Amino acid sequence: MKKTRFSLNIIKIFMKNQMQNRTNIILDIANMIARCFIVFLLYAYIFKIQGGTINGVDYKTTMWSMFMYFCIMTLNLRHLDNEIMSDVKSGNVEMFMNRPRSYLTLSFMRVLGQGLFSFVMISIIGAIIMIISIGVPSVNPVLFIPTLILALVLGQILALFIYGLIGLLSFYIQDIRPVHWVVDKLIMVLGGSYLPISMFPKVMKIMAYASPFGAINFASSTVYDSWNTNCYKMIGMQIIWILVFGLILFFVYKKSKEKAMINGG
Amino acid sequence: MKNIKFGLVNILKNMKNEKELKSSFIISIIGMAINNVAFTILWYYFGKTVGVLNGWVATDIFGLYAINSFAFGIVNAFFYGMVEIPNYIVTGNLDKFLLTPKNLLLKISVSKFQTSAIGDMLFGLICGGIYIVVAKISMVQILLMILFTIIVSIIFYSFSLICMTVSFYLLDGRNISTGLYGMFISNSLYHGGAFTGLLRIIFIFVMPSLLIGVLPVEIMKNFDINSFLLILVLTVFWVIVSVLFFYKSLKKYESNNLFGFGG
Repeated sequence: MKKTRFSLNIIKIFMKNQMQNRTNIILDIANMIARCFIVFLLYAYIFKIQGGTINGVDYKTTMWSMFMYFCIMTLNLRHLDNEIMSDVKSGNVEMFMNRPRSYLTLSFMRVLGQGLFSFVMISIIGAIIMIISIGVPSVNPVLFIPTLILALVLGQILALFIYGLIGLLSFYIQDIRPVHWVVDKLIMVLGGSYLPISMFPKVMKIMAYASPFGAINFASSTVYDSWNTNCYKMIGMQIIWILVFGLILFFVYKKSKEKAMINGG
Repeated sequence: MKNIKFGLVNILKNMKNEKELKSSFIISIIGMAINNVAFTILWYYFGKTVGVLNGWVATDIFGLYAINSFAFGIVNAFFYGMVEIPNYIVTGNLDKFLLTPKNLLLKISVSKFQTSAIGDMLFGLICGGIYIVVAKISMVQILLMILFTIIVSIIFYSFSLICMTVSFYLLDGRNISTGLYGMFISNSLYHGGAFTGLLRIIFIFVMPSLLIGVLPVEIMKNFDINSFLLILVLTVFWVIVSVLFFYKSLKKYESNNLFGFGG
């Protein structure tokens, strides 16, 4: 209970901090709208010349899926590894590690707090614009809403674990940015950022559904028809990946902590 | 001539500095080259799925990325200081550049070197090689590709400078500048066949994203003297506008008392 309250407090502090920076929030929203607008115009044209559907999926479903991907990205959990690297390089990590609370939990809550407000705002405003401009997605609400929330939460826990693991690599290698770039791009491509999953060739579709990088953004697949039949399998995959990366993270963190202590910080 | 010599000396000095951390230097280059593969795969498969789109076929993506990545690499590797202008303004580090007698814009531009951009150049070369082989382009087209890489680098530098210069008008313009810069670059990486009508006009004349990849590839495929001249005229236009805008905006800069050494 105490731990939960502590975590929520950290999120609240960083969220309040972010709320003060109104220019950044407005910019985030403007950036998101501009990016979506261009991508949507491009795909509107492409769907039109392709006869309204590509690989059996229509324009509306594809755009909702891409919109969800862009919303998830505004959570900005991808900065976690960079924050850990900064702490390691500056030596601040020693100060955090000597505290009674886990440094990793603290870092997780910190990045979550930094992106949560933008995410909520953009999701609400964006969803309203989407409903007005292209309509409500054709989904089964009884299944869609709970599974969307579940897939989103599980996906973001997995993202925290993966980016946390990359961040901890800064205890062992000088510059983790190249690792970040590669993983980040895998997440971006397999998550259906600029090319919707429905347009993927077979091999890439398998990679998107079977790899941990694709699993992070399963929430954006909830609008597809296939979600109705595959949702339990995909949520199961997310849980498996969380367990796998959770275990790896636990051991790497333990080793990193020892390394920090041996070196004297 | 003196300025060119000064710029080269600075670039070489920065490069030597970066090379000191050998493993980091190599990993950054290779990492960035691998990182770029993602976009190529993405749009290549897009091209495969939708087929021929306004004359664009899947393999043209390699031509687009060859020119775009190489030009991006040149600007970001050797003139990365220009991208750092918003940071210099916010931290007050611009003062140290203002106090030197050398050409200000050049001094700022060559003040930093970005190692990973060498990876972009490497990636551009690989894409260029693939495009030459797969699209079976002629010798004239290869020469055009080289010429366009130089022209695109100039446009890249000029419009990026405009994006960064916007920071002079804001208290902390880092987000706006990087947002504009990101928008400029990301739109240049889309499949070229998707830009039509108003969108095409906007991204040629207002934000020249199509000038740094899409248009050169189209000209390379079907040479058209009017389009070629248009690129040349727009290049001169963006260079003049960016330099004038920078020096005009510079007057907005208010010095602070933060100490910074080096550069």
